[in-house]
Amino acid sequence: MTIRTRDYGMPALLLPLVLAAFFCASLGAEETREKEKKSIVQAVVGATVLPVSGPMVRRGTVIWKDGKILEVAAELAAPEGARVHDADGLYVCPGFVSIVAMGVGIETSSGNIGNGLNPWDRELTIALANGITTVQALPAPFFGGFGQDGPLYGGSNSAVIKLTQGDLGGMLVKEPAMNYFSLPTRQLELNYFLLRERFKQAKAYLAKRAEARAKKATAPKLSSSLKLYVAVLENTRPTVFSPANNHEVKIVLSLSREYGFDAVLNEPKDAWMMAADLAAANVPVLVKSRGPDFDFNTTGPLFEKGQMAPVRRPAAFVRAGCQVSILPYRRGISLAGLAGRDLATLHIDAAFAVRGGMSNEDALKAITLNPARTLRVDDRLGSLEKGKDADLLILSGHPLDYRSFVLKAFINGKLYYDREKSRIYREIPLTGDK
Amino acid sequence: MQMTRSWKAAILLLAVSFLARPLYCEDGAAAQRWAIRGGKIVTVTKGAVEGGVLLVSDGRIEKIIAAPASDWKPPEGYQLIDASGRWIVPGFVELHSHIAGGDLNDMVYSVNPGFRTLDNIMPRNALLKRAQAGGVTTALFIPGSGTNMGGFGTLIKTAGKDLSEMLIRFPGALKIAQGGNPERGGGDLGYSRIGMNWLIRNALKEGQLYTEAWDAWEADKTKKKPVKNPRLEMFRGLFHKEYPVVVHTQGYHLILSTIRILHDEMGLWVVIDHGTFDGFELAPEVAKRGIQVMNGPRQFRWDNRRGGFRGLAYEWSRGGIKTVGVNTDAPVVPAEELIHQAAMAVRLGLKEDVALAGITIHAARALGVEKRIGSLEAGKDADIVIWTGDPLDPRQSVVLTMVNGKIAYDTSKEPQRF
Amino acid sequence: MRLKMYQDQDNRERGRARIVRLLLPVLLAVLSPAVAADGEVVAYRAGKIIRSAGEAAAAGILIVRDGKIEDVLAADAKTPEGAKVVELPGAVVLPGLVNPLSGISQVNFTSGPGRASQSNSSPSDGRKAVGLSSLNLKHEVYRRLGRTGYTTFAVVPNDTRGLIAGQASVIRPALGKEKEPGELVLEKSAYLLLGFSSGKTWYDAGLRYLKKAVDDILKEKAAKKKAEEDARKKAEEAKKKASQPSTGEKKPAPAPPAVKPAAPKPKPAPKPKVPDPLVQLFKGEKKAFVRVTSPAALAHFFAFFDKLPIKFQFVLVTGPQPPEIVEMLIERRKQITAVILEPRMGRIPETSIYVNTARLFLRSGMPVAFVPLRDTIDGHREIFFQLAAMVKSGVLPHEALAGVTSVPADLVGLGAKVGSLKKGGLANFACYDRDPLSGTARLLSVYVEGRKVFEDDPSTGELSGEAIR
Repeated sequence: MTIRTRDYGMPALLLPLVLAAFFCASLGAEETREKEKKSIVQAVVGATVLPVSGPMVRRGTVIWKDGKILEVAAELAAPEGARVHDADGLYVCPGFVSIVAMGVGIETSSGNIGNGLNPWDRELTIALANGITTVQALPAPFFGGFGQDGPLYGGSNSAVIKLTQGDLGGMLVKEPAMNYFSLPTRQLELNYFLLRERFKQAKAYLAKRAEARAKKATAPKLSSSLKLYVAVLENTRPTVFSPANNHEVKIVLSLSREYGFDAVLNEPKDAWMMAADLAAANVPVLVKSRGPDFDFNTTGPLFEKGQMAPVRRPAAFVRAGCQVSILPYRRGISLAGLAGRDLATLHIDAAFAVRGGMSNEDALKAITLNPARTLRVDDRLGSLEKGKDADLLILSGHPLDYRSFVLKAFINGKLYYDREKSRIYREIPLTGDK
Repeated sequence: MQMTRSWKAAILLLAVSFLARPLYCEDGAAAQRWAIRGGKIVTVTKGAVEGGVLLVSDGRIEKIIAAPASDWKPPEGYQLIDASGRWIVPGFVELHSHIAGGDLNDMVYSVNPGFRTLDNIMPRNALLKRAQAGGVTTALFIPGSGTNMGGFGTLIKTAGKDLSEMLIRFPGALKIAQGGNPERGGGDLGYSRIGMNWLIRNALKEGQLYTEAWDAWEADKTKKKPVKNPRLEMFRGLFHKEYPVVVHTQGYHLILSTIRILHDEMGLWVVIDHGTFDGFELAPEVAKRGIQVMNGPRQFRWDNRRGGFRGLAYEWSRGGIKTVGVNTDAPVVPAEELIHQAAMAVRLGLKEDVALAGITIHAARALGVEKRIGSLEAGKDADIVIWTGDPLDPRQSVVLTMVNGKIAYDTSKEPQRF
Repeated sequence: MRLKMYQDQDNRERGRARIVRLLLPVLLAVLSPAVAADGEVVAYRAGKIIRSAGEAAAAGILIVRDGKIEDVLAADAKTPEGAKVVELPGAVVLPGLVNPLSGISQVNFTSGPGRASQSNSSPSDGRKAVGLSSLNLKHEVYRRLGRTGYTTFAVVPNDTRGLIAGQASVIRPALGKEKEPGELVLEKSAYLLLGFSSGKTWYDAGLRYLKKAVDDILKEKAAKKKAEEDARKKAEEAKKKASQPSTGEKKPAPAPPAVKPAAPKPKPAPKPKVPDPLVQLFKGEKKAFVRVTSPAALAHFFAFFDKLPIKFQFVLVTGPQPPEIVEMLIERRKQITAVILEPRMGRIPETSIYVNTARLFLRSGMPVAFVPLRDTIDGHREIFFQLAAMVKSGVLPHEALAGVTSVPADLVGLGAKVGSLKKGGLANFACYDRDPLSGTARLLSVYVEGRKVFEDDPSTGELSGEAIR
């Protein structure tokens, strides 16, 4: 039954001093952080640099400051006072861009995505650890897991976000990213008739609205059934369609021609047959490089006559001149245990496209610059060029090498992932260590 | 049951097809002879041979010429396959496949030792053909894990115009699912592990007693002739260790019951055919018993105590299973992506040569057919796959698949399947 | 059975201590009046009095007059003339505990949770709601509050899910004779409770209420400034005109301006306006507590907050956090004046590594107040078990005690009256039979403003514990 009077003795006297010291230290730290926020020049030297917008640079240097790339060149010394990351024997490339990602970085998507982002999201952290620095984020489907496959829902929210782990600032790049349009699946005659009617009505609405604006009158009311059609026709961003077959591809092409809006095709499986038409119409395609799993169908397909194995399709589109973005095998991060079948191995899916006949360069472009172009953010990211955002990766090997790991990931010039300090791959040895 | 004439004939036919090798091509012509010039011949068991030549005749590897002379020409009657700049690799061995014929599970009873996949096989089905394009030449076609004992699986080649050409061995192995799928609902026995373990032990015990009775009779140790029971017949080979039991088992505690019941108590030859989740923590005990592990289809575990990934095949290897292999549980992972499973195992820590050996020689040895398949050595089956480069690299692909000395897939003559 | 237990307990204790324990309630009952009469001075003599967390416990005499603490004298000092002396041998006397955020006023208090969970569905405006209005004296609970060792509660209104949840009132436990809830109140509106979460509905609500209040204030300021500016200009112009020389010619004096500025009309007496607590907040006239729990919600709150043209300091009410979030919050030390936490461990996400969030804050110099894990009577009684768990993982004992006494008292603005036994403060104190952090301590009695509201009866070996009326 003793009171520990010691507890209230000396420490009580020292405590104010200690607290004061901590407070001053924290203030001092604050000042250093303030200084750090001001112009820091960083550089990575000695790496094999893959800028994507140009040829490989050996013994290359990338310099960046205040989140923007200053210079990419061979055998360039880092400037005085720069923080240098030695990358001798390593590779540097732009951060990967996943053209779609579900359930990554989003806490809640009611209303919009930007106000509901979660920079502490576990799936975001894992995607970043695998080199993905930017995604077009879509809300996770109600039933997760395998529900991540299938067509993308019409009217869906979407936003381009960077995976700035722990930082909300700098995370949102653009919202909305693209329009999503669902083609009719039943009662086709009736529904296509309605579809065309609505496009006509939307066009008429836009004309009326333009008139009202010219007269400085109030804009006419927009009914909710026409909202998506008007968005499509306004064409401030492209519209994504998920055609089930080539017939629907033709419908999309004809609509986009007639009404003059930009279309994007999501998983247009056999449209490689019409790739030349798509290229001529400047319609980008989002393509997977492997076929589905859980296929019990012993009767086919066999890709013998008139068909093409999924692995060959991305290359076929590229050969015809289409802008191809590689889709991850699944749209989200899966922790169920199947490796190489989800968002984390986007670069492996790009490697499979090489198996199907694509060049390494085009495959890397299909997970960097092409998705950036499709999302209309290529002014900022997708390649290592002067003036673009410093979103880059230092890897242990070529980005399309299945053994390579991201060692460091920078977004907006700031180090957001360091394999040595992260727990995510701590139990997995790097290739050389095995 | 009496040994009727038709039964004897059936057994004779089976024995013949078991022993015989296909000696004719589809069009009835004599088996072709091939001289495959590398490129890099990856024997798996005896290292790599750069620029060597593989001679194939009668459906087997005749010999490997390590350093052919500069003016070397293929011998008379041998057709040249030029694989310079390419890799020549043994066909892969899949020990957990469900794609050869459908009808995975019949779940009226929880143990079905009389079932066999032999009669379900569909030769030349599209899924097997795609497997060929992934370099897979042998597959163990087993029942599903909907019951504790699904039946006996068949070891087949993935190419061949009919069953006789494809068959390596029936029974290939008994399939047991220790838990994690066969749990019964609706108030039936086998709802939980205690019930399922009983069902497994009881069935095996029945088989063991049946085997002992017949062994005694055949060794003239008893005057009492046991009754023939087709339901239990295949247990005799099992308890004689002519073929193993492959077990769908995963997680520490489930695998513990597998090694205790099946190996320690029943004395069976056991192959662990998933070993996922935290099963690798039992590696030392499994290694002590010399039990092979084919890890898959899950290749990693998210460790939520440490907040990171664990590579399962790598952890098995670290724990003592140096022969660890991988599987696809096709079509959970498409059969042609067996090598991709191996590549993921490598990415997550496993050594490359271990990964390759795991789906070739070690898998073959796990089923007791290492004398026939699993490496490129003289005398073994000519199950040879030519790749554009290192098969573990997803960027490389198969250009030619040869099974039993016959070309099953050739991208110079047909579209690329994978 | 009871007797046996008593006998077992009896066997464990020896000699004088046992007799003292038996006699204690008798002594307390006989020697101390249930209610001190007005003007009366009572001197409580105890072996260990902790006047304030951080001070050493010392033997002394607590002098209480009219429900206030007059002084704490040394043990050997002379008691004042006419004072009633109450002996508390073996007791450890602490200041009564203070709960800075409780939902006692909510109807289902006994089942809790007092601190309602945040929901994305209703970021509403409850600025007019005051905790006091939710008090219902018919409810038993207000008389039971004293048996917890807590003597001060800041209670929030019924629905606390809003963006502006309401104003908290500080109350004391009821003695049973009160007719109006107002009699319990020490401070009607101690602070404004705000909340935030991720999602567009919260940002919209934030714009609708917070931003609008700021804009109104700025407009008012701008209008005032403009008015001053205009007045100044007029004065200048008038000055200029006055200083201009005359035109020279003899002219008749200019006629006086036709209209004399009329005498200002007598303005009607202004209605007494109830000040808008939100406006008061932005003007720095009211305290704010902001409740934001998840890391994502914190990120969004600060994203919104940083854009407000007028900022305010606040107390952050939050859940257990991993080190990187604590770091982020420490960097905002100038905005966050203190944090209120449950005495619970945080976890590094995706691992089984637990961290003591309170300790991390305290080591970085951030004051920490604790609230019980469960906002119920029993929950409050268990606070010292929970604090002991905090001490086990690195919080210093005096920090734990301060977290339920002086720190929360300061946060609700009543540091001069409650939270410590200082001169002029209210005579709110509790007696334990040993160090309360020891885990086996028994709450012997509780006094609120000099009146005993609870007394334990250890003679049966079990808790009895009805509040004394």
